[in-house]
Amino acid sequence: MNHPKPDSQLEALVAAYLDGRLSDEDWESLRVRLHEDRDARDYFRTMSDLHASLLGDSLSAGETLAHRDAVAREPEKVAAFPITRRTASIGFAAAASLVLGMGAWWWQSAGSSVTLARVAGAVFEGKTPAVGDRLGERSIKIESGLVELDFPRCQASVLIEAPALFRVIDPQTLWLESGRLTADVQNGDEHGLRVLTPDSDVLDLGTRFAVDVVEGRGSEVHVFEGEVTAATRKEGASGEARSLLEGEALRLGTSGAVTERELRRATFIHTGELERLEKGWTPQRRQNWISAADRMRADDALLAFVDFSSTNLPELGENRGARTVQGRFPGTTALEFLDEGDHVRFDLDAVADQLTLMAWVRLDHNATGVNSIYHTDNWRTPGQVHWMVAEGKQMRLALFGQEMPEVRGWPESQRTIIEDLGRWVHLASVYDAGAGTVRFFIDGEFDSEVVLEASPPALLGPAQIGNWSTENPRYRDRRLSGRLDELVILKRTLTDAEIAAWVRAGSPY
Amino acid sequence: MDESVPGFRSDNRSDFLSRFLEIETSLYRYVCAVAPVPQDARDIVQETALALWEHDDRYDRSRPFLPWALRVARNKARQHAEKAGRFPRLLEDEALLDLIVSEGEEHRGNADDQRVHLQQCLGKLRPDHFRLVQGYYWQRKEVEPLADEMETTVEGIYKRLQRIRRQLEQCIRMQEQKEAAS
Repeated sequence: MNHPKPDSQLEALVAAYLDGRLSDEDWESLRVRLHEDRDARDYFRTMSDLHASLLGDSLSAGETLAHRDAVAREPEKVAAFPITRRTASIGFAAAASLVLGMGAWWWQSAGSSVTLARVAGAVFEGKTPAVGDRLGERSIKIESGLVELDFPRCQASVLIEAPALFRVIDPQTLWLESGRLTADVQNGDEHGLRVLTPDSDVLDLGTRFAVDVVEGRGSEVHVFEGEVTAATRKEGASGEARSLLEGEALRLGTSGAVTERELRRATFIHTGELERLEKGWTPQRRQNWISAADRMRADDALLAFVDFSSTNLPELGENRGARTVQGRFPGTTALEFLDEGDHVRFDLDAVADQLTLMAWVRLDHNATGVNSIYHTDNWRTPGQVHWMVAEGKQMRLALFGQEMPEVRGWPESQRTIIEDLGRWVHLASVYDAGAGTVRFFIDGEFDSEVVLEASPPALLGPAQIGNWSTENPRYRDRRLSGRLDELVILKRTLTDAEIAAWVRAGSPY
Repeated sequence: MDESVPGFRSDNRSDFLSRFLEIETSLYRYVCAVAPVPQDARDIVQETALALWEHDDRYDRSRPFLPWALRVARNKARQHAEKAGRFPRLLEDEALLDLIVSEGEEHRGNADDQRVHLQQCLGKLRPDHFRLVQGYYWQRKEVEPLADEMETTVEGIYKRLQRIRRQLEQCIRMQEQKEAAS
């Protein structure tokens, strides 16, 4: 094709024309120029065609035609089908396949074969694509839930969790503007899957990995199996691709800085879990949970019910760096603590002889060994509360001033928690100062009871959720690696049956 | 049922769609040349497609489909401009418009190749520029909210759009040259 170079005046005139803001005088200059100059016409056409290509699918008449055809054939069935002024998600391919069943050849010739394989609890902004739809060229925004895409050329399935904005660029390339994904790629040797984010360019070589776009911080790549190469997309930064092997992770920062990260695995949803979530995320289940939560909120002994939603959090505490991500139900909120010092400030200002602490978590083992859930500030004052999953991976409820019979240490559960990688786990600890007991529950099941020799009342003053970050270098950072959802604190002991019922009603599976 | 859509019976649906698919890209390009504002272009394309479909019985099958389709598009664009009270620029100078269209048909490249090149070049855009393409072209947002979003002025957005198109045009040209050389 002929590609004439324009002078700056012509370039400005054509740009203003395409943007629909050319004055009458300027149009006259452009018109004369186009009449007189073949090169100017070629340039005009090149830019106008590019403009048309960029509009691409958004011009498609496919949906309109398909709808007319459907009405013509079966009006009673499609009367309720809205004839939208918005365009077809997959453009003419959809129309062609609807009308003639010939979409496949056309779409393949256009180069896209990526389909929407599964959805779970997904709410789309704008038009909702159907399972089996081919996805091409249009950005898709999911506000809640999960979608799975199938990339047949790479034999890859990609699970994207809301909130996310993404777009299939070609049969091997996905643009992830925001959100997080896990990918399982079988055919990476021949046809690797490429994931582009605002910060990173990730090429997979046949493996399992995750890409996480963390707003304001950059994009992270976590490799669970096989090998991946990753490079920053920031101008001026070293564009050299880094190779990452199993168990390695990188952050490609918004400024172009590339830093090594601890592997996070459990926080991501993997394909196997999707099936269980699909079954659990029913409207009935959700209703059960909402009813149970309403009853809990009405409990006189309730000190805090933190669901981490934007309305709930400012009332109760102050978020210092924790990231909001999707909770265990579509559209709900959980917190993630990614960087040193991230936590939520929280002050219950209460003293309790009886105490129940409950939360839903997804946890990874981290370098400090401690996943802090709730830590009050003034340790070394009797009654201060530290609730965590400790170095030995057991749930621990430590109150300063407690004494265990015969041994030094703190009450811990029998079972370990981190074995349960990659799923939501419910943790509960019940403390009774009068009886001198701590009882532990995992997923609503009683785990063990520890009897204490000394058991002060719990002092619930200024505290951190998700971390214990202090001036003391030994305790600079005890952040929870993973997600924390729905922290509930009561100043009474819940019974075994109450805890079991609470977990049944609130389980996402 | 078929009577409700004049001239469109099930036996010629297939015929119509294959004809439409063949000229689709040319139609889009034509409409964008005469009505470049995204919302206008989209409305005109849709109205044209519907008119072509509904009046397919008036199309003389012994003649090529594209000129017929472009004629319908021209009328639709004109009606659209009148309704919107806009001066239709290129539509008023038919001689120039015909010249641009006919010269264009002389050296149209392969549409599939061009599409692949464009996708590759989009992948090379700066992230904020990519976002602007998304907002302006795909989500069809107005320029004012885009300017607010990107913390710049309306003029700043237009400048960026111009830069983006320049960069894409240069990149696509390089891709074509690379392929021609290899």
